[in-house]
Amino acid sequence: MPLLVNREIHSIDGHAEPLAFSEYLELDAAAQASIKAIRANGEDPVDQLLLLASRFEMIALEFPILRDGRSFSIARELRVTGFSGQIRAVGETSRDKLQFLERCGFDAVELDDELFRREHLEAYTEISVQYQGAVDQPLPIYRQQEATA
Amino acid sequence: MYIYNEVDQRLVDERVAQYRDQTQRFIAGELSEDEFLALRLMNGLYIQRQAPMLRVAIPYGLMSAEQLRVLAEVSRDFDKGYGHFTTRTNIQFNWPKLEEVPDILERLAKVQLHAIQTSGNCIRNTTTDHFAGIHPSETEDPRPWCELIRQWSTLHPEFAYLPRKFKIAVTGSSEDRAASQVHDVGLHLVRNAAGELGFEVLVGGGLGRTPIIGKKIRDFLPAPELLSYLEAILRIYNLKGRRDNKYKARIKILVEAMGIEAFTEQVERHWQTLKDGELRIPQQEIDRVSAFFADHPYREDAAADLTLDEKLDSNPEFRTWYSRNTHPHKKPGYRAVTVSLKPHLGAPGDISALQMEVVADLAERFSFAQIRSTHEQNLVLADVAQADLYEVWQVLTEHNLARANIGLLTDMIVCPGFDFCSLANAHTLNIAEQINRTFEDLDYLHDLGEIRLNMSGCINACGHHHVGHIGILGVDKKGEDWYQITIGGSSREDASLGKVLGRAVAADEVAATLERLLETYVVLRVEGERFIDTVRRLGVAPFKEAVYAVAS
Repeated sequence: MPLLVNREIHSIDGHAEPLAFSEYLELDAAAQASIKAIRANGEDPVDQLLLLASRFEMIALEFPILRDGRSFSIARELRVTGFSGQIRAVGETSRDKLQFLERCGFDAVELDDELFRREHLEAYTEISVQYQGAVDQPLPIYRQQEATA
Repeated sequence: MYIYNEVDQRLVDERVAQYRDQTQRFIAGELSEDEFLALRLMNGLYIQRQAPMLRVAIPYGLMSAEQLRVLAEVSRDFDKGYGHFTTRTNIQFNWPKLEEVPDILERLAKVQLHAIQTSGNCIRNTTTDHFAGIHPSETEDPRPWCELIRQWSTLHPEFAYLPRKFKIAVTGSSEDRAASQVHDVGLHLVRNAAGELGFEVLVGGGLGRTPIIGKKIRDFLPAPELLSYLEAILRIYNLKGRRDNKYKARIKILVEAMGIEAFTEQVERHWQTLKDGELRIPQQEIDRVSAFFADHPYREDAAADLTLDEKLDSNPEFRTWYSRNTHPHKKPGYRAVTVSLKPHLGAPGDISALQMEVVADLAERFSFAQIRSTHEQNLVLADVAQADLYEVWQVLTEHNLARANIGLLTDMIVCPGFDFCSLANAHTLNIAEQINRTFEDLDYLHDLGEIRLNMSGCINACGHHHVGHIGILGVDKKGEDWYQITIGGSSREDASLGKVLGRAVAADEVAATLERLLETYVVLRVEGERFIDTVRRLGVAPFKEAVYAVAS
């Protein structure tokens, strides 16, 4: 299974499966201290995740089904509140979500896609105009122009 | 109107290339049906009963004559020579070929048109008052704000996979011609005591299976914070809206479940982290966008014309059309003209390629080369000098676009129904025709006065039946089309939801039922009272009694 990290292809193999955030919350403090990677989704308490995020090196955010877009907002909130570790998209990810994922603060994407090819990285540059500020480009279009003027 | 700069154009061009690639990958089998579904929907392409259907965005209902000509061209070259205007002020083509859609989009992009986010679970086309910028009672022109929303919402990376679709309407007048109270978000431009511009913000309105009138979330939002506030609402909705049941996924259900106070509290709390930030719109940008909507160079002497009165005096047909299909304008000597897409026997909202060209031509000659589409499925030439009205009327009449029925019973809002739509339970176009045949007499229609009749072919309510003075909902009963009638709805500033009149009626009884309903109104009304006002005064009961007594 390919893992994209900052647009480069790596392999996921050999990495331990991150612990579900709900299970993490059940652990005692000592056990929690050893956990550096978790996975979460829109069903988890987002406020709590934001509060505890700095404890982790990696947070995997799930897209349980194609149409579930909650993790876009969670990633964005994680970045806005200062999380600097890896945010990895897992589940129903696809080539056609890559650019939106990156814009919302994901720097890694697990692709469950056997058809994945190197050309698919072109998805990152298909649309060069960004009307909205996001994590990659914090300024909305009207401030981008101001900044370059 | 807003004209693309190089950046705006680049986005649309790149989007066409992106969609062409997605279509090719789908045809080559590299994209699953499900994956392609989400992608094509975000580009306005449905697969319908007969064929694919492509919905092209008319941002806030404003288009140039050049754009309308290209829409005519597209309908001729890629479709069956006609298009259909929708309640979202967009235009639909019913017969494009899936593999040709990228070519259509390329053609559209050359005149700054696109199909981005005209369907799918994302922020849809923003709608507004079709008399924006010209109505005498307007506080402020809403269109610059619509354009700012258009840009902010276009390919928003965070809000492309919302729980469900999201619709925003903006008005700039105390009169509501945009059905703003039945939108996910309704925005009303207002001024506060200090004279500053801002928005009254409503949230959680909508039609569909669970019709709800929007609730006020904020009395006054400073105008430059429009996008930061919308972003706060959308983020809360994206995180908390239901994902388990698509019929309970709209923001209105979330607002009902949380209660407006709790929802407001969450939005306001989140907004505190966004306001005065990057999303605040600088005055310079507001000025830049507003400049595109500045007044046209009106003729100062337009009101000095004497020919209009002569024509009105000498031609009763013209006079009738003038009184029904033209509307006040802020500039003396000018009128707004509604082009009726509700001919005697024809699908409401449909327009042929030739008619599109005729309207484009009239716009170029008499209305500063601009046309508006209305959520009531008509077109508007907003700036016609009174001296030109007679000629405009003559040309429209010649092309079956001047039926003097605007605001009357036959000015129906009607979804395409079972003939085209794969969601529909019942036909609508045959019922519209039946109503047209029964209520053919123009004098009687005028005597009945202002009546908004809205019809949907299923519970999804694309024809806004809940907010029709008379609403008709098609339902399927054991394979037969039946119709449930509601009365007392309104989408205006006095918004209300219609109440069910009684049991559903068979397809061949709809018009006869309306006849009995309206005869009852004529008996019960006091001098000058509109149908809706009589219903409000007396309630449903007397109408129900009269209508069903005859039938039993």
